[in-house]
Amino acid sequence: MLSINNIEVVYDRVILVLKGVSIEVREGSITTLLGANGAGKTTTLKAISGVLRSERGEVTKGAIELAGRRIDGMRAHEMTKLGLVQVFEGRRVFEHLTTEENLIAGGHVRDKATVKQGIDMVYSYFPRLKERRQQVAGYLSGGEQQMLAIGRALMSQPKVVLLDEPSLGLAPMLVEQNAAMALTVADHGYVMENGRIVLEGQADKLRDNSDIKEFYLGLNEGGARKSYHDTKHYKRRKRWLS
Amino acid sequence: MTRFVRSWLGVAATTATLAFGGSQAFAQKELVFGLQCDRTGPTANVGTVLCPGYQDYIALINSKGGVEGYKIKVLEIDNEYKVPPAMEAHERFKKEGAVLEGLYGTPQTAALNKKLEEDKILGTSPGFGTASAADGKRFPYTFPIAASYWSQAGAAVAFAKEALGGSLKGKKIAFLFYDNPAGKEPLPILEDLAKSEGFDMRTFAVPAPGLEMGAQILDITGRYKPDYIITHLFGRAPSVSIKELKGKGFPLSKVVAFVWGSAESDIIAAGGMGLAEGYSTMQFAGVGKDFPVIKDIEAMYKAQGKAPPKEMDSTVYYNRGIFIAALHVEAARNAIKAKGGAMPTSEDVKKGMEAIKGFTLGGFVPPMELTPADHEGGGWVQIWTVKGGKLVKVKDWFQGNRPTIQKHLAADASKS
Amino acid sequence: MFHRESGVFKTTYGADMALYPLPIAKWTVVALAVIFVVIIPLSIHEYYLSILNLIFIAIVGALGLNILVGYTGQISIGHGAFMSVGAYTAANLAVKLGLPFWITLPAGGLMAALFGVIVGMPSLRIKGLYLAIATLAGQLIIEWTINRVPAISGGAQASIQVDRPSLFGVSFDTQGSLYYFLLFFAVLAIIATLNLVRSRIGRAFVAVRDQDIAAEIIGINIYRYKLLAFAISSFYAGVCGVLYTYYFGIANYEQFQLIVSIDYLAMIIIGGLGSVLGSIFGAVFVTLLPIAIRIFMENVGALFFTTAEMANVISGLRLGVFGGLIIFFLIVEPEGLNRLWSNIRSYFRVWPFSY
Repeated sequence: MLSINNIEVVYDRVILVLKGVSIEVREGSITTLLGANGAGKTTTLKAISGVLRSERGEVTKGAIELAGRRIDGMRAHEMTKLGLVQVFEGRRVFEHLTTEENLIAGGHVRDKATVKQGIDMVYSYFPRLKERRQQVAGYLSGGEQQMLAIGRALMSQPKVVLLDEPSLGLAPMLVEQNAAMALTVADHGYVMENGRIVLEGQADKLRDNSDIKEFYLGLNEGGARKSYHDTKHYKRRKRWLS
Repeated sequence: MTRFVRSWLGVAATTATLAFGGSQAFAQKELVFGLQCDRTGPTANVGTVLCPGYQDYIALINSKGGVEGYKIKVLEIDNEYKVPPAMEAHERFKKEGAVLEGLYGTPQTAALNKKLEEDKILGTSPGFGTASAADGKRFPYTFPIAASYWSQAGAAVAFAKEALGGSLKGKKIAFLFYDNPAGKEPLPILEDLAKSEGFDMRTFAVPAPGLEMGAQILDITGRYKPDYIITHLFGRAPSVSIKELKGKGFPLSKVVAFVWGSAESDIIAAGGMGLAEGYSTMQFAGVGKDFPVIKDIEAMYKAQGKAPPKEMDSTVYYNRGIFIAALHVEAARNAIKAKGGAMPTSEDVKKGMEAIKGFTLGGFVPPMELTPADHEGGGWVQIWTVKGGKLVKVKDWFQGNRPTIQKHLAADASKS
Repeated sequence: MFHRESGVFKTTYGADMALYPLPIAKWTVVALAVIFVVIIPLSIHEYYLSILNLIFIAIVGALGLNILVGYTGQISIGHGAFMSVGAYTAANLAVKLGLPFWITLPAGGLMAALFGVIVGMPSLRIKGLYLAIATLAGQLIIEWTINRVPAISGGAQASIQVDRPSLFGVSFDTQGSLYYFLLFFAVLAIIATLNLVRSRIGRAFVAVRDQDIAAEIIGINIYRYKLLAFAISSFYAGVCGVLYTYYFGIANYEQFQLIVSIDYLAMIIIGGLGSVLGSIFGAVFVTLLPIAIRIFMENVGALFFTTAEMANVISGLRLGVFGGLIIFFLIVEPEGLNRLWSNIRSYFRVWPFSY
């Protein structure tokens, strides 16, 4: 469905952020991208969705294909029409529109009937939003805003949804559990570091990988939980080969 | 709750203000004059002096029993040199029954031309406004009395000719002007005269707000090296021009300024009267305090036990205020006389204005003659020059190159 | 607008999106129509009509600027220049080709829209203060061009006289008839804007303003919508300029200089950014307040001053009071008069049980 072949991303024409990243997302599957802060996860997503340009970044090498069609160099709103949509880290809802208007805006590229269907669908996923439909989005709680952001993305009937830190603010959750959760939900996983993919594989296989266990799940060989302090220390020393 | 009360108080205050609107105490034997002014806008330096002059003259007339038994009520409205408030002011004057109004500002005059005609109320625009409005047949209710920019251009060239020994053939004249419609208006007259008089003319535009003209002055003094300079500037620009020309060593005795570059304050702001020795300016009203009417106003203040206002010392603009007021009063006087003492309508006052002739106010007002066809009155100016630290009259009332101006007026009239 | 609601149970999306949420709202509109079309013009003095006329023109311009600045978040200080583009387009068409107002008016708007798109180009790359400076440049270039090109400006005076508009042989040449002429266009502009901001385009504008990247990601072509906002806003400005032209009987670029752009910005900021009612409040406030203060001071001041003194006192104090009131209202409600009004409404909506 979506395939990324060896892309390089440069900001401001001088800062090389992604150094040859390849990712393959199959139809009907969930793929997760793991990595420490600054590894390049968000940049990868932005490169795919095409908003890189407004941040003065560009894809200098490689290709991104959606259903066999080259989409690198395309602008974000054009991709939305093709069925690719991103949900940003942090909640970027339109604060001055109501919940429902946000959803309608999300269906900007679709016709009226689809929009109506879409609204009902989103309300069925997130009944909470229905209760708040006439409220201005700025007054929603953090979790509700995140629901709205995801719901809004679904309004364009996408084939591929890119979620950046989707659990942020949804429910109280410890940082170390995110990766575990992601790997439980996903079918396939990639691990990034320093702008490169350093590990990939089936999600359940990754979950059993000892390195992953150490770095992201915070478990030692025996499965016992280590203290957070130890993890951090250890992590700083050891690096995967690139 | 308190927040809410506060909000309501705000609304209540506004409505209360509105409710006070318009009190018309229409006393018998009272004429209403409307006066637009700019006391707070970009030309406030003129308005804050000119309008007190107007008010003082009317007060003087009223203190002597009014005009032909009628007291005059002045309704002054500050239009801030903006156009919509000028329209509002006109409508207000109309509502209060004004028989005439003093306009203020070239764009404001342009915007009101049509309305004045529709409402049949005359408006005066001395020394500004469209030159072609001098044609009373085309603009029956607009009076650019005294001297339009065209007449001033004609006079400036005539004066330059005298100053350069009686001939302009082969001479070079620079025209330094403010780059707006009012600034460009004299151009056709000057171009025409350059041809007929045989002089070379170059124009130098100063962009608004006219505080920076180093490049133009350098171009004039360094490259073009003219025999004479005519300047046509507004606001703070005249004093900048004096300072810059002086700085480049150009003799100020070879400069003549249009009527809005000619106040004492402009010269003083340029570094003082002493510095501007030789600088000449055109005037459409008397300058200085040596007139009976000024003495009368001083006496009026003295009788009230007050000191004369300080605006009086800025005689160029203050006297122009008196000048406008005097013509307004004179027009009303003619109208009342023509009606045998009955209350004149605004149309009567317009006829009264068109009958002004031989009214000089002791040399204060030019020997103008207003007619239904000529609303300018001939385009008279005086030339005053800075000599020994003050403005001295060097040329009494004259009309410069009148035939050329009349030719252009006729051509302009036939075009429309 | 002036009513309280209760027992509202909407069951369809259509009912929810309706322009009139309640049947009584329709009656409010009818009542307003009667007041403005019949009662006001027949009962008040021509002078007050002339003030209303100025307000009507200002409403059209303020709505246009609010679409751009308030709804789309693109700041512009070139609004005055677009008015002059509309004014000169209409004046030239009216004088040179003798076209009637119902052609020159939209033509002026369209020409202004074209210039708006050109001046709006920099908005594709810059925002905020940078964009303000770019539009300032647009304002100055347009002023300069009109001043310098006689083919546009009609000669050295840069002013073109136009005849009063007329329809079916009726000429709008008094304040009373101009009142209907201008009221019609003000109402048209208000209705058009109300509908625009509830539409797909209006939501896209708000989306671009609130979160431009998120807007792009849900499929809104932000470049196109920014330019569209400039075009629509300038169209309103152009129409506003044409209305001024017909109202004064003359097109003159000195009526549309930078200070006018600033005045209109003041209107929408005082009235409330991103609100139709706010644009109206702002236009009324900025036009009416100086007049109200003056009339108030004339009446009160007459007790203390002579006529001559008062002229000076009024003009000086008026600016101070005007500025002071603007600051006062913005401190009471930083989001403008519209918000103040909705606060009052929502207070009464639940009154007397506030919580």
